Amino acid sequence: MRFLREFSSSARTCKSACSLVKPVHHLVRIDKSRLSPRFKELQYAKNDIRSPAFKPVSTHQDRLNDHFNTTVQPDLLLINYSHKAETKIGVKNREWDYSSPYHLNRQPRKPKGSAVQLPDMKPIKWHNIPALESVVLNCYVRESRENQLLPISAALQLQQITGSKAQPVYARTDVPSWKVRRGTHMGAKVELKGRRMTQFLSTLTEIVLPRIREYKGISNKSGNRFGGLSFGLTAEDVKFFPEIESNQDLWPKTFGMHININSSAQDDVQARTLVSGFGFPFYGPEKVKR
Amino acid sequence: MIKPFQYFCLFIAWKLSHFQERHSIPTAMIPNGRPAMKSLGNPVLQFVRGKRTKSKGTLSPALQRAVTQLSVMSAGRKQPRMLKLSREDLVKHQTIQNCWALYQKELRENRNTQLRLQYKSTEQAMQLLEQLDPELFEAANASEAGKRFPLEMRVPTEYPPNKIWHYNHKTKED
Amino acid sequence: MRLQTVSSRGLATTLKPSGIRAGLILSRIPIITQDLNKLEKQYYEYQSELEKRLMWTFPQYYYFKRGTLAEKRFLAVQKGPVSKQPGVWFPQGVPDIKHNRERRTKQVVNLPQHFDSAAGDQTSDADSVSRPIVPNSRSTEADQTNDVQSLERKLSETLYLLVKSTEGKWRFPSFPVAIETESKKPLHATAEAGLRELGGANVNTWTVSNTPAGVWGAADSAEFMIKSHIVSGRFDLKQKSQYNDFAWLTKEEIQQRVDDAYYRGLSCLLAGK
Repeated sequence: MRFLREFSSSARTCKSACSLVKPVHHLVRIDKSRLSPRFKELQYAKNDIRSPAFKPVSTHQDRLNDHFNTTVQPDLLLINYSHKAETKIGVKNREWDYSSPYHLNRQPRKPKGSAVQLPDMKPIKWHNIPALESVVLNCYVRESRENQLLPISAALQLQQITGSKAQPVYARTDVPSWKVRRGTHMGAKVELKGRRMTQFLSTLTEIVLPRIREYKGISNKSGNRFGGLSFGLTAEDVKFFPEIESNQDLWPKTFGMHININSSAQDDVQARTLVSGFGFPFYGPEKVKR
Repeated sequence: MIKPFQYFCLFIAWKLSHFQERHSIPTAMIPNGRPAMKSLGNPVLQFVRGKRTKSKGTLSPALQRAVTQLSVMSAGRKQPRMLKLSREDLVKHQTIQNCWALYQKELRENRNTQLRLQYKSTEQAMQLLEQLDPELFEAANASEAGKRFPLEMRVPTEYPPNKIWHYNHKTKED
Repeated sequence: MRLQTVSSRGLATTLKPSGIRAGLILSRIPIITQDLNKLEKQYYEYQSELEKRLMWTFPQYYYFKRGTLAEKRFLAVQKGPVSKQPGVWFPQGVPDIKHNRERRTKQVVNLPQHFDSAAGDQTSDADSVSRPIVPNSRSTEADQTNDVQSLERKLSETLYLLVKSTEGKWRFPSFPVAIETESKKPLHATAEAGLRELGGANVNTWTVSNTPAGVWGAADSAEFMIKSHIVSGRFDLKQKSQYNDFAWLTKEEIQQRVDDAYYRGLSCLLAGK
């Protein structure tokens, strides 16, 4: 009896054939939930009326959007017009010059004079006029470190103000000096698009901001360089929202928040001109890049 | 400031020490949003043995407020029945949606054409101005960074204000 | 061309009639929202009914605490749902009720009226906070009388200033650009100054841009149109030698009054149907 010690079990099978089935299921991402015959109503698109997630979108006239289309958009086209303007290419990552063999497959260097590569500044024509994209409200409550009931109240406040469901915000990192622990529920945020966004901006400019004492406007220094502007509301300012003002006894504590307006403008200057068209005042010195 | 988890522990301890009928937090008041409760530190759900009483006022006012707020934000018991459309109704709805999408596409296309024509018109004007008068052209092509729409140009409202138009404006004396 | 070479030589020029003119498209933006056509009205109505049918139940327990007077007043105005009872035949189907809401239909929430109509005569109605809200009418007297010189006509549309020249032609106002190198003004400044001269100092405008929006004519008689919005004030035509009448008109009305070639050249700059 011969006892063969084999270290590989595949030697026993002595396979001489190969599979004719292409292993597509290993290479292509397949959402298995779409293949199952159960829960037919979940297979429909979110805007299909047979889906449980169906929500009507255009329920009324959007007056801010109409104002933008009629007045602001053509004016912006004219304001941003520059004769025979060309695309100003932003600084890009630099490739190695392959003078050394180690340059192969090495990741490109960061650009000169900047930590990141910047987008190209295209001339404004009829197809890329700056427009509002979304508004993000971010409410971080520092006292939630000790009181975990406050972020619940903050989420409800955002929901009442905007009419949209707020997402919870958790502490991202541990900061012992501020007594912040990673993962604690610290506040809420909500992103607004479409009619909710325009309605919110209308209430801000027509009801809330005019009632703030000594309100100067959005700072001319605010801007994320690529078309986003930010400003804040204090806990007292938030009390002027009609949803909160009419139920004062339900709101013993209100929370301040950061408001970020994202637009398809290419830089700060264009963003500020756009946002000023919707009734937002601005204050302070403006730095204009030549 | 007392932490909710500690508060729960205290509450449960007080109940145990009295050997009284244990209350459970009424399921009707706990919304489906369990994650929020998790952050309160895994409260122990007391299962009642024997008579189940609907407890009112077992939670502190602050906790009760938080539970009500969570309930307002959650969908539990607040969602109406799903729409069950017949074949004909579904076709009608889809026709309406398609009609609207087509109409919006038409409006969008008209807007884009209008904007394109405006751009071409400006381009033509600036080209001519460049030929005719370079000085005026430079003035016309100057950068307008820092331009602001005036606040008096308000977003149109559904109904007009009490004073529709201001005929006498006060010029700011600089 | 001669003008160009002379000015580039830096010599002082004599007053020559310049062909370049600055035209002004002065507009009054809409004050109220656009009128909806039949399709839009019906679609918005359909979508809002769908939304009301699919909306979550009103959390009455949050806004009106149990046992308070406010809750009592609220419930008094509400029509409660028909509750399910054993042994009862419901011809419209068995009710499905959660949080006091029939789940098969839309929820109708009636709010209690705050204003007391009974004792309203005594209190001053003008300043009372609880007086009923009555929106102002969307059509004004200028609409009724069709006064084309009023700025309060057609509040839902953009109005443009048109002036009638002595020949009887309706045009946008245009002003000649001075060509003396000392007093040469950019196009938009010429347009603004000309407007004040023509219509009085009480016109408060905001120029959209120093860039002309379009051009009418070519070479010698080029009229560069500057866009501007009237923000407040009034345009009072001072009887000048050039123009003898003015009007604030919508895009459709401009098409009727102005000659075709002029309209075709400049209609893309006007906002309207």
